[in-house]
Amino acid sequence: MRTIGIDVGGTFTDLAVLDGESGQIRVAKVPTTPADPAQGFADVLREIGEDATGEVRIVHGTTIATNAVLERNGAKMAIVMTRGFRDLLEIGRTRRQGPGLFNTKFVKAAPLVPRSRRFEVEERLLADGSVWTALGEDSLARVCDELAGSAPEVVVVCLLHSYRNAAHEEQVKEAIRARLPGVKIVTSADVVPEYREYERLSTAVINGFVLPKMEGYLGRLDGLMHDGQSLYVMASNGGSMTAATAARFPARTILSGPAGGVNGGLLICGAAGIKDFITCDMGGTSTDVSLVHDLKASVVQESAIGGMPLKLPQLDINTVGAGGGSIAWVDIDGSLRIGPQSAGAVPGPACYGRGGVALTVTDANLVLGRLDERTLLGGRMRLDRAASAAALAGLETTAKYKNRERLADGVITLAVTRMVSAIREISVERGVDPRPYTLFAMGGAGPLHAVAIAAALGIESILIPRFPGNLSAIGLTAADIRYDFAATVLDACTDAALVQAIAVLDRLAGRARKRLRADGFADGAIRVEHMVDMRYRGQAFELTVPMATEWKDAAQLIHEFEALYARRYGFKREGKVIEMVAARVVGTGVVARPLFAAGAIAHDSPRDVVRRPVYFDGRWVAECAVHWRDDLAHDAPLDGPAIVEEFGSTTVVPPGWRLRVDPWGNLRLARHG
Amino acid sequence: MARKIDLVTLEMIQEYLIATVREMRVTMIMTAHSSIIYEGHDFSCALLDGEGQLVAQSEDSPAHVIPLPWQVREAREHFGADLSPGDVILVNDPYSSGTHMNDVAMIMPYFVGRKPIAFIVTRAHWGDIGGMTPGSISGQATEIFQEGLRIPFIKVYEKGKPVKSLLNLIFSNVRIPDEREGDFHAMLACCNTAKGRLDELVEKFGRAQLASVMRALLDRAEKRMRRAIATIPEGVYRYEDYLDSDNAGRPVLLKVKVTAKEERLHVDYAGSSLQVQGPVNGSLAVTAMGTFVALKALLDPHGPINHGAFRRIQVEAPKGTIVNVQPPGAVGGYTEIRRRVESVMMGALASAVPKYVAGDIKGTSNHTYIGSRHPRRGRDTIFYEYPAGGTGGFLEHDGSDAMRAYDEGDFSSIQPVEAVEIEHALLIETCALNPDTSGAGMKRGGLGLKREIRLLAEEGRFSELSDRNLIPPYGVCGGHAGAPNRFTVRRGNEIIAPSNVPGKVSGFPLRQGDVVVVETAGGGGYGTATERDPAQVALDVRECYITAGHARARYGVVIVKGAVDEAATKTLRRQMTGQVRRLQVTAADLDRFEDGRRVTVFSPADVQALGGDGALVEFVNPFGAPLRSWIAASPEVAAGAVALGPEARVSLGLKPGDPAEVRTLKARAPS
Repeated sequence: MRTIGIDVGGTFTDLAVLDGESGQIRVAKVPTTPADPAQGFADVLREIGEDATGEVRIVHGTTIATNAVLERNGAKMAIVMTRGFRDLLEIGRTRRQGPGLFNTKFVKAAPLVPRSRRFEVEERLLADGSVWTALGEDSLARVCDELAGSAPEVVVVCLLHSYRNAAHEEQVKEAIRARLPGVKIVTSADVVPEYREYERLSTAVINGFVLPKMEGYLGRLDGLMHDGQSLYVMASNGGSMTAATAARFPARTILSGPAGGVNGGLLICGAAGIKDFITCDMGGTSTDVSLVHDLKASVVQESAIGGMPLKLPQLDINTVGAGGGSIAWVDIDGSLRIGPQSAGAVPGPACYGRGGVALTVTDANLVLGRLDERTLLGGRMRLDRAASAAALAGLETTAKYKNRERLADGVITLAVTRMVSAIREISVERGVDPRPYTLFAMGGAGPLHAVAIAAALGIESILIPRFPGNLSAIGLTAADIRYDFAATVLDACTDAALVQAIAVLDRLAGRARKRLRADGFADGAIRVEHMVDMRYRGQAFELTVPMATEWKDAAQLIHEFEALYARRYGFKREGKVIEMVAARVVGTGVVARPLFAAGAIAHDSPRDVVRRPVYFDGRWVAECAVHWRDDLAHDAPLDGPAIVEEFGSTTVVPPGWRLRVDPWGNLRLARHG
Repeated sequence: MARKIDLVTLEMIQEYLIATVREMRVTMIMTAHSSIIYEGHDFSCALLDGEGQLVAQSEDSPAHVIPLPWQVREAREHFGADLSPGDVILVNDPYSSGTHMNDVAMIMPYFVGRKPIAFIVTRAHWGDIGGMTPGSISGQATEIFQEGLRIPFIKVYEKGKPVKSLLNLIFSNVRIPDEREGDFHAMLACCNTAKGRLDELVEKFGRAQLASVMRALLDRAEKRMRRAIATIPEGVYRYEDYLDSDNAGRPVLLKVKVTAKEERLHVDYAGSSLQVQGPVNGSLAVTAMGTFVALKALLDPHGPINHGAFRRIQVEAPKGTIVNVQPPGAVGGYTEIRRRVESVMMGALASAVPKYVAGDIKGTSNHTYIGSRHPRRGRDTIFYEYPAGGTGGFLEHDGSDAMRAYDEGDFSSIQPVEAVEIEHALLIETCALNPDTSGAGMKRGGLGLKREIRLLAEEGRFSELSDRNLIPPYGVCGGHAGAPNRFTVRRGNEIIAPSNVPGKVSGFPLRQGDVVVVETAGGGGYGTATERDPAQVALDVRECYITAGHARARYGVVIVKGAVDEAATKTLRRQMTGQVRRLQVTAADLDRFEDGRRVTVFSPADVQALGGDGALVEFVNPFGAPLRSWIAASPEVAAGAVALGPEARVSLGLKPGDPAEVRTLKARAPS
């Protein structure tokens, strides 16, 4: 059976098809069609012809939901809340959710649902789920009238303490359904069955906001599917889900963009026997970094988008606003800065010749010979070195800098410094020493800067996979199906409380198994993990503690929590009550993962080694060897200085580094001498 | 002259220094023992150069980090040449550029060779430092001795060896000494982290290059600030404002005179109230901090913070005043005066840079406590929040509703209702934006918050430490004041004031079913309200941010069935413009202050029209902040005239003969 990954990015729609029997990978790339991304999806499928037919699993990475939220272009919505709380969406926790220190002119983003479409219903539950004020029938009827008057496409129902008792939310939902058939209804406890009402509401609202768009889009893709093709969608938690689940919970896709790359790392490093690595996916406008320990990507339970909290499990990925297209500029105090403005795809770096005049990181690489005019897309797109040089001359004047090459090199160094800081944040600042890790560099610009990043961090080993520019699509093919289930259990961690928590975990596990069986997984392919969010009493953040199903007494769980806490924070706190906050179950449907093929890669005719001047460490290397990646032999190490080019990416091997090709076709770089 | 620094090296070292401070912060969070540090992030870390100038900091709260250089400068003076590698200094003395005694600073000189080339500093809020009350901060304190242990500059490590006797002395004088000792070691770990990083930096770049880079970074920030200051026309600017009350119920006057000359600012707080018996006094370092926060916000909110930015600003205040407290004045609640320093600075410079200024903000901490017993858990709990208010309107936009302000870190100021109700025997019945609380203006202020909290337990106690309950946040450029903060208790149908001094409540006994009503201030407005786009006003009415009555009274907009009645609005606005009370300014020789308040004398008829003897009014400044005054009647003053002293005339930019618009500041009616 074949698995196809299709990743729709801002500029290109990438495809990778992985043959389950041969382990061979094939890739394809077409321009993205922003007005109708389904078109690009169809186009790229057509590119691979017969490989798309028969029994295939298609895993799709999409930013439809992400873009809808960022562009604030989504459904017309209404909200029903507990009496007294219609402003919750707007007040939140009174945070700015944005950089506003010292800024008297900071403006908080307007809520996705205006006040006049937020309604209150008479009802109130207490923290134990008991009823303080019954759901008022008159009040409910009035709210339904008001809803009818405001004509929403989607209604979100969020009532206090619904994570404990969802009966009122369900009653309100039924009443709205009866009164307004056809309107989509999202209840908060269905999206996030956990306490903290603002985070729950915000997530439910985001889900509702993107719901019609996602339903329509997936409906269109469904129409493109042939017999034997089944469609899955990448989720932010690092797993995939069925298209039907994605249509109901589109918010689960919102931060899924970088998830393909992390899965690609898991697939490739797993095959190559590397367990601890740091992924660095450097694209045109931003760079995503994440840390994988023991072949497990780390997951966080909450993040934010556009200043709105999103309480859903997702891969712990740190994004920094610097990439190949980032613009170098001089601030009013004379300091040299890189980004966050990016030239994007249009006009693009100066060398694209589409009207960009500012110097970008890509231009700097071109001027220094690290990129070639014919590098991009195997020569399909020519770069204009003179335009880059002109942009550099412009920066030289504003920065009052005397040495042109050093300035270009400096621009690259500063971009690299940003990546290094981003990696330090997810390693050093979390108590993890990055030096024994492997740097897994991908994205069009990752391999260009990998050595500089590794060197600054003291990392000794670098892996550059095949098809570094298509790696997200390759990663999609490797994603398991993953569903997260959670429930609030807030209580001190005692044996008695644990009995109750275990009952909750078992119930959630039952739901996970049922869901995965419905997706067609045999029991042998279903993995269910139990976890408990824990904290010291008085803390407002929790650590997620994995729990073995056979544990029955609290001491074991507490021990595990303390060990995790000590690993993260250096020590444990004595004499503090430890609480359980949420029970979590992750259900994984393990997909058949072909062994990644070792051996030679089929390619067109070999290309001669060429030589050109390349700037390294303050001087030009006049005759630097430039190799074509596919021509590199497995057993012949290559010492820097050297450049390795391929379709879609370029690897720089500076002096003092040695490159070899491993049996899986990956480039492995290490210090030499 | 320093040798020329490479631009890229400069950026790299700056990034490295900031990363070092970030690592100090992480070390602190990971190793501290008290939740106010690892949860509340009530601490700061910084690197200073060998002369004690702040070079690098990270996401620290300005309240914490800005006084550090003053403290290090004093430490250098105190120890002179008597500093060696391995020395560690501890200090919390408010009178030596500290804040309050809970904020304990650790200073580690960093040596290369025989000279310290940098100072590594961290300051953390210790949960307790001894004194009359657990936690050490009490609204009842009248002198420093009640607020805990005062630590002058002492070496707790000498040449790498701990001075055990001193450490014993300290930990014998604080509550929960284990936790304090844990925090002390966290501070030490934090400084050692930075030391290791600086070692690497010196090894890589060399001492000379590092020193030149630090100098260049400071010069660059100075240049930035100098350019910003140059936008202020040279001259003298004045403003005055008040804390509502010392704990005896008298207003506390704060005055500032800002002189802009030769791209420098001289800021003088002469004329401010003498220090008070309560704990709201501030040291000169606190005053400098508030001054700097306001200037940074007005002039260069996005630039980096280092000492270069301070160089062009000189701050002065007479000893023994509320803004330069001397022993034995109490300082536990210094944040209140710090916030008013910010308001008064903003007010003074509003007319110099009206494009940058915004309406005033809530101006207080709003510490709200409700103690009760949880029936199921059988233990006493204390609910604690510090709810945010609206922010001020400004030239381009309305203020934001119920949001953390520019001078605060971005932490939640209220807890999740569901978390509160799990932890406490309380039921939060309402958490809403409070209509009509925003200061009206061409751009309105943000709305304040209303939070109603019902006691489910049999009994409880309510305490509050707040200000701006009487004198509301000002609007600017003609904008109206926001509603002040207000704290009441609802018992059945009755509204009870929980204390005689609004906003200062100490253990008010609550009964089961009582509802504490917290209403935070709205932000001040910007520009003349009757010039606001009527369509915007109508939208605010449709969205119920303001009532139709408020739209009519404040904005002169008549709304009929949700839409603007254009003709009626035009008529009403013309009528309102005609009714503005303008008096003719005459020159008084002196500004009159009685019992700490400005008093302005009008004719009996004008006083009558403005709300009677003792009413609070404001003189509108169409290009800046309004001047507030209490009023008194005198038959010697002609109707339609008002005598203003020289300070008032400078504040308002008025000369004799000019018309001055006066309006009554209405007290907030009970809800």
